[in-house]
Amino acid sequence: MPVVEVDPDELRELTGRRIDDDDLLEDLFGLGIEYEGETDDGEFKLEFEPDRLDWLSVEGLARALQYHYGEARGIHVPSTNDPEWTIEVQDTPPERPYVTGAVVRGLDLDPETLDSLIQLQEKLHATMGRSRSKGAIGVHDLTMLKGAPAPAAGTGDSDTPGRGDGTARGGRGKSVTYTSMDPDDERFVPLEGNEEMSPREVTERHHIGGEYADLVAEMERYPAIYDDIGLFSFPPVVNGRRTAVSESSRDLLVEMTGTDQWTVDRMLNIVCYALSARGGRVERVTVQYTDDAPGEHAGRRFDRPDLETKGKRITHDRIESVLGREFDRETVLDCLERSGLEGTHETGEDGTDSYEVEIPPYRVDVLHPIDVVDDIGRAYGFNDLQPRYPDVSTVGGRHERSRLEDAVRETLVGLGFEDLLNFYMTSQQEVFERMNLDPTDDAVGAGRPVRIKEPFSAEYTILRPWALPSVLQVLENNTHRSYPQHLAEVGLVAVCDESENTGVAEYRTVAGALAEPGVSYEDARARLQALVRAFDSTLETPPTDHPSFIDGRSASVVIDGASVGVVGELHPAVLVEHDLELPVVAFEFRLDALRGPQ
Amino acid sequence: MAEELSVRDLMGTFTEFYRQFGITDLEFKPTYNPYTEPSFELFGRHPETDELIEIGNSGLFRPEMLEPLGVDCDVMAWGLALERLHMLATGAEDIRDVHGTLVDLEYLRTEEVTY
Repeated sequence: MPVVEVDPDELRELTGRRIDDDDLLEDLFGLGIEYEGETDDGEFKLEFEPDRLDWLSVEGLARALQYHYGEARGIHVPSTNDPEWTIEVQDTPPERPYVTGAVVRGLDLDPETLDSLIQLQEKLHATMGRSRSKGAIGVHDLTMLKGAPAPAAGTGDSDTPGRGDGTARGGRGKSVTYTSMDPDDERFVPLEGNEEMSPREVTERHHIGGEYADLVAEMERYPAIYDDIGLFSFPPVVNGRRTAVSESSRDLLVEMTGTDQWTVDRMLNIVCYALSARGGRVERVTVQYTDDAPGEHAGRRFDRPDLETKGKRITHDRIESVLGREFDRETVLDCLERSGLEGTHETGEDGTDSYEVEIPPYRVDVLHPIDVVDDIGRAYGFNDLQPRYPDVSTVGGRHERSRLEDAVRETLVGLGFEDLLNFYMTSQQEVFERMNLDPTDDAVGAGRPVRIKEPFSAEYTILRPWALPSVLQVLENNTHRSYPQHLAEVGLVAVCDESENTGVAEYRTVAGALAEPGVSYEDARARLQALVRAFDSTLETPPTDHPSFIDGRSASVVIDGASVGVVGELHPAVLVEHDLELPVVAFEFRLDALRGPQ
Repeated sequence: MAEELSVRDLMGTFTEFYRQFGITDLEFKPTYNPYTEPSFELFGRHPETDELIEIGNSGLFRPEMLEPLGVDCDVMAWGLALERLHMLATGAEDIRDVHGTLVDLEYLRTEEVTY
């Protein structure tokens, strides 16, 4: 979940309320925001959930608190001025066909505002933007741009919303063009760079460019935005240095490109609200797709940002049944207003009480009326609701599998084993190399393991195909503790198996090891015999070869006629690998073998 | 699952569940899950370190989850952390002593079994 660094003093200032740190954190907790500690500079590290992306900046958070305290109420939609600028869209790379944008004027970008804007951009990239692949933001100093004369309005349908109607016409407006470029035939100075480079060089040599090179690697022609002077942005990789935003910038062009129009439009709304909270005046931008532009908007014209509100209808009954108590109408309306929504009460012909609720354009999370009920609950304060034990009676029971597992554990403890609970994730090294086993061997524990695609740690890269290696690791980590060490585990293992619906076979396994001076095969065999007999099953142990065990001192575990595991004296190479200086005998077999004849 | 379940029932279930382990200061933080709404993370305070620790996640299944399954009831859902519950209930500070391959056999052999 995104963690945002917020200066508490700045938050207090924007919220307009003196509130001490403890109360502030408690109020934030009630809204669903978790305090994760402080930075060295005394900023709060706050963890957000990915639904309220409009809270990812100090401005958004201040807005949430103002609503919470009732100092702001209802829907706020910033007014927008008529567009002067147009983004022409033509010959874009088909992989990245969509663009949106806005102009924001009259900003005073002090260092805090600039930091907050940069952080909001980063967090939106990380969440809605899917690391810039679905949507990427570029912010430019408008005064550094030279607009080309905008052509006359396009021939396509206008999707201009009802707020204002003065779309730019030829002669008056200015335009930039979102298009594509040859990776080698263009040159520009990228942000934080000091020499001209070709776009391909940027992806190879520039520190930001290299990080996002993968996003354009498959493209024949790269995304590009030009003004009358030339190339100024190479989305989604890096902006040009010419239009870089600084503390002296007052007017900004915000553009966003991506693979989904809805996503970039919503990201734009969130940025526009944040800049508007900083005193910026939002000016719409016309987005004109040419008739042959790739994607589904060819020939269409939009005015952005689209700050239209949406509506949801929710019944009074539903609110009461979800929150579990009665509410009067005024409380519901008050809670809606303190969530930044606006409700109108209506009584239907059948006497049903309901509310028509207006949703502001920065809310990307409201899909269903139930989401409105959640807002009402947060505004009312979930922790102010009285918990009650549900008036539902059912009879519970253990799953057959759990009963079997528990019975096996209990029997093993009775036989003198200490019960373990190990992780299901481990590494190739642990389950194969260190066990003297090859994944291609025809032996218990071998097989193609389930791999973690992007492992967090080199120690946890696969699901374990057998459990004995985990038990051996415990022995390895406890050589300073007293012996004998008789350890056992009943747990899950998994291996790739094409015949399974999921491509993975998962099953429960029983693994045990006896580490003790003078211990031999017979000690393991005897305990195994006792365990199997307790489940009314028969055990046979024909000799077998297994690379983890000593030849001639190992056997297959055959329960009720089925070969389900292995038992034996561990190979000296395995013992040395685990720093064990005494003999270890061990076994592992499938738990379901103990179910007995069905 | 029942005809009518509310967030109060959900809160009551966990208040009672954790009370059985001596945890009586449960707090509910509204959160987001794609499949439940409203959703809550459950927090309890560690008896030794005084840290507020998340010990579970829960919610009421969204209508979009239930309709395709033909379930015309309210359904509560949750996932609770076993090791964190253990830490809050016993004051254990390093869960690696209790399970996983770094487990300390001496700890397992001497620690009082409470449940």
